[in-house]
Amino acid sequence: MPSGWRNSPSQHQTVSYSTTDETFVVGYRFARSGLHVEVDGVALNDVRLIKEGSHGVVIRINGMQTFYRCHKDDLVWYVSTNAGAVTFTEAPRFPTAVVAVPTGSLLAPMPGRVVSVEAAAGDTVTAGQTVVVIEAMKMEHTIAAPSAGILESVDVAVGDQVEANQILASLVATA
Amino acid sequence: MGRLPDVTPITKLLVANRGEIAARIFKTCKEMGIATVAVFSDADEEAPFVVMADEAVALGGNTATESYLNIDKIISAANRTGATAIHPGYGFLAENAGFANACDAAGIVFVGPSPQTIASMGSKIKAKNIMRNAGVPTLPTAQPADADSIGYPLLVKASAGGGGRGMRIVESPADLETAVAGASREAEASFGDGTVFLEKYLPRPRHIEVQILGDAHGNMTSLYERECSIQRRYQKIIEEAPSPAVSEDLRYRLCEAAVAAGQASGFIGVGTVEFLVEGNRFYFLEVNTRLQVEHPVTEMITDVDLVREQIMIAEGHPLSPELSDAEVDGHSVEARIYAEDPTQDYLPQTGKLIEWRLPDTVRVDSGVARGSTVSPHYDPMLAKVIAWGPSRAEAIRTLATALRKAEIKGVVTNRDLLVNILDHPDFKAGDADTSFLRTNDPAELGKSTLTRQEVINSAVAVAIFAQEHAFRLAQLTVAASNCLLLHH
Amino acid sequence: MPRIHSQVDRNSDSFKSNVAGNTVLLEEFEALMAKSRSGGGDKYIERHRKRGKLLVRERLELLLDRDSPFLELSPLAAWGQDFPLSASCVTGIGVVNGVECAISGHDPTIRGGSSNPITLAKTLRLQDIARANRLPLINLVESGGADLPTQADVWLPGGKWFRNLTQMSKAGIPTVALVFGSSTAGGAYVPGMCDYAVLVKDRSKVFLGGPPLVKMATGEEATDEELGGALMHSTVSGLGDYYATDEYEAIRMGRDIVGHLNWRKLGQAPGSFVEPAEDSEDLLGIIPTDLKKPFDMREVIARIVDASEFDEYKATYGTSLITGWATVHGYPVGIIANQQGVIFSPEAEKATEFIQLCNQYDQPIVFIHNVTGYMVGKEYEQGGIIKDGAKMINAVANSEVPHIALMAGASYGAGNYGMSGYGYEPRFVIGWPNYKGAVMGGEQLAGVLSIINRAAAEARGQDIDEEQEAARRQMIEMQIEKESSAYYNTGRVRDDGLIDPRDTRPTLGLLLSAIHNNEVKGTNQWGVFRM
Repeated sequence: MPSGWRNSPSQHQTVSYSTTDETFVVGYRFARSGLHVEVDGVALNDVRLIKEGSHGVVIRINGMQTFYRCHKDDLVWYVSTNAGAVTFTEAPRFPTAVVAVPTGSLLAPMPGRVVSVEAAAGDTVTAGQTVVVIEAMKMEHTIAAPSAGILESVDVAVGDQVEANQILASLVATA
Repeated sequence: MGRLPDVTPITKLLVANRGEIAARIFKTCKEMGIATVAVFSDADEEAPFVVMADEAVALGGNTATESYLNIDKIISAANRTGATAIHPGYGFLAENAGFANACDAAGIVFVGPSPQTIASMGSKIKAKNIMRNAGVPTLPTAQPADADSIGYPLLVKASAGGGGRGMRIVESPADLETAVAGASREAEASFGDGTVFLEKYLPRPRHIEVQILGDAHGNMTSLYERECSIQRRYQKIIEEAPSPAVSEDLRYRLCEAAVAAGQASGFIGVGTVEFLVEGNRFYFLEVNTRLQVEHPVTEMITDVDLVREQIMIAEGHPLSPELSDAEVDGHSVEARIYAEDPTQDYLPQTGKLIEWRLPDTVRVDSGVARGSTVSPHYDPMLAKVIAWGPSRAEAIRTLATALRKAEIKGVVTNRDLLVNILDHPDFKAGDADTSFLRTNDPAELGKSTLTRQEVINSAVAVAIFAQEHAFRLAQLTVAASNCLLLHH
Repeated sequence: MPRIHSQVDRNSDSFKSNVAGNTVLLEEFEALMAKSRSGGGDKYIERHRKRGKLLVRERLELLLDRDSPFLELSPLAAWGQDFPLSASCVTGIGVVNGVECAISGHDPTIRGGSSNPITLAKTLRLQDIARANRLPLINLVESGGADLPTQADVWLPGGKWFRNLTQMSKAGIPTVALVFGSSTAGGAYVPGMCDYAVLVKDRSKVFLGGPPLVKMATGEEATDEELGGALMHSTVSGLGDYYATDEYEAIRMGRDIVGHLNWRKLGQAPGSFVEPAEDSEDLLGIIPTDLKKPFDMREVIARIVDASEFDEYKATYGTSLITGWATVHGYPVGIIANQQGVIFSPEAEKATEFIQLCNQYDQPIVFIHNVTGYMVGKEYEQGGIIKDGAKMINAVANSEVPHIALMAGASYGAGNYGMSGYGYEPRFVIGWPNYKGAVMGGEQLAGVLSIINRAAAEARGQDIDEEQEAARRQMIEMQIEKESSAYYNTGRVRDDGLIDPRDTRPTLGLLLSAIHNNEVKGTNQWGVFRM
């Protein structure tokens, strides 16, 4: 079974490799007519896999045949040829989405009663610093600042009954 | 023939060092039939040199102070194993008079000169005075207060220094005070001695040194010069022998001065006299009373095993007559592979070497092997690669090709910088002086030796290799998963 | 095992003309395949991308393990009909995190990914495949719901879609919905009925009724997000099991879900194998473009099976039909192939025995069709061809090992039944682009009708208008030719897709591997055989 076999091929297999200066998106597909390769969307002429082994491949690109010795360490690839070496970092297939630090509103995790307010509007707080404590179902829940910042407002007072997801305080994060 | 000298053969030798130099010394010991003892820190417990020795004693700890600089532990290791001699290698305790004394006190042969010689040559100020008195040319020096007596530019140097630490170049009087204070602070931190002095500064000298050997019977000889001008921050990275800049006449004068210097210091052993050379003039820099890192280039052109000579001198042998007959045969170049990134201000690199392979066209004095961990505890030099050729150009070619082909993976090294220097027209022409890596940008010279197209092709090769590799793995796991992936 | 040694002469005129003819046929096929991949056209693709969304095939490729094979099913569904080619969706079998899965994805660039009757047929067919072969089913959802102009043909049969999902769940076959966009009205039941629902932040919209419908129904004012947003479903309603920040994360979550299924195939593992000794390229020179010309099935088999090795059963008896054993990608199979088109009594008996043997030893059977039917005529009727054909159909119908039908050439009349055609529920029906299937050949059918017409006219004492009769005959012939074409059948999802003949081996390998997710077990219970 050819690698990446498709009865209806719609695209190349792609993977992107970065040096410290540059990123190359390599696309490849093994087809009946041979190996198709493109880099950054530009097709390379006449690429052939001549020989494969556990430590490298012999590849002919446009007539030039080279033995590439390849080693992998996690997402880092070390390639060496007789002309020298290069190190690539492979982009993960599923990049971790940049999760915005949930600053802004501090919400009540469940309905309860405010038992303590430990900071006031205008206070500078550090990440993890307790702002409000609520009691619900006989348990105390600490609502802490998710990041360092300045409290824009504290919207509850001791003794207040709060709903789930009610805003307890607002924070402006500092860089 | 006079009477036979009093020779005491060394039966078991402990190397108070690590890495490539320990391995290098063990190799000669093996050839001479001397039993070997390694000492090692916790960080080095899996290092190749430990395995090479017949016996190995754990010193414990990771820092140099806890291990390779700990005199008590090392003497105790020698006693426990019955080692009759200690070779200090270079660095660590190699030029520590106290250690040489401790060996004497314990009845162990110290492979090196006497504590007195070490002490006198260890102080740069003292050493200079001795040389000046012996008629060896020296650079004018002064105390920080007398800067004007030597003029600018000048160099602030630590009296106890080495390796570039505690050094400052001063271009004008206004900068002097800060430079002296800084150098002193650094010297204090590095060597425990903040004494500094001033020296005439040559902006573009060559660094040329002469190998000397002296025995206990008053004989002293030299084994020609080594050129060590390619330095990054006073750290040599490429050395060669002979120097392309030394004429027959200069060679004669240098060697003569070096022997005179050795004799003036009562030197016994294998040492090096370093000079700064400008044109036909040279100035004494310092005496290194130990084996140099770059000693292999001398060995390659003279066919002398300097470690064997060291041991024989320590055993009481007179210098063999072949030494004075040794002639220069061909040319040798050495490159030092460091775990450091020249494109990032030589930032030291650590990690695990997942591959380490060099062609057999060159001599490799290596402290690491595939799988070795490069730790942050010691000097980041991994190995020396030494090539020989009938001519300088051929030696350079062999070395450059070998370095290009070298597979060094898992840790960033200065390999590409070395290749690009060896390829540089100034270096090839023999015109590179100590300013080479200041006038050429190491960040540029340190870049990959591959063209952009070669880099692109390499990316393609990785992609193809990766998918082939995935198939191989899938085939191995077929019995377990037994799905579509398996076939090829 | 004995090896088939090819007798093909690559320099012969027939070989060369077959290559030339097939090359033209395959160019036409490739053009249709390219069209099937083109989605809703540049304008809609551009709009989709501008919204920062991945195309359905990009989602699919990311879902699949890198470098793993994928077999797309029914790519030419809706051919020759008023619906877009491929029927606005992609279905197929591929490997996700080391597990073979049935995967279906809406193409939102085609009429918003809405489901027309062919979309439904294609989707239901994939569900059948997933159930029969015990493949986890992954749905890449983004659809505006039923195609309203054809709702009458979608609504009632469409109920089966959701019934299948929950019945699969009951049978222990995992179902996963990755919801990339709208999944509303009836479509909301896809994440609703699946074992796992992954919703994408700010993208997924899952509700029974959108804001206008709610306003109409109850007068309530509500936003999309309030009614069916990903965050709402992940924090309030609990419909969402996994909350993804973007499409990439949703796909990764889908892969992780499959990863934790602890999936074990129930069928046997394949043995090691070697590739065929004969070159599959030769198939283009072996298969005639004119189906009236028979071709040597041993030459075809030699290019499909491992090492070109084929252990033929009853090679010298009933020679119009070939039976025997081989392995394909390491999976043992029985092969039944039509050598000369017609099935006579000995062929029918031979096939019956062979099917029983394969059931005895739990071997899947590949039927290679090039069949014109059971032999007619006095001699054969009197010789009991019906009884013998009935034996074969009895065996095919009651056989419980998986069948794969490969439509290689003709497949006419009851011959199609005896060879485990569509109606006999083989696990898969795969065709070459030039196959034909009908009750009989167009020419014969038109001829038969003509004879009947003449007889009727004679009975009424009328004269025949020869010119009119010829035109009528030609018209019928053309209609039958069209309706029996591979494209016509594949367009109506009466097979699982057409393939380039040179892809036959990888396709069979994939199908056999997929089949072995379920238990492969034969039977020894049959209907009453007529003797």
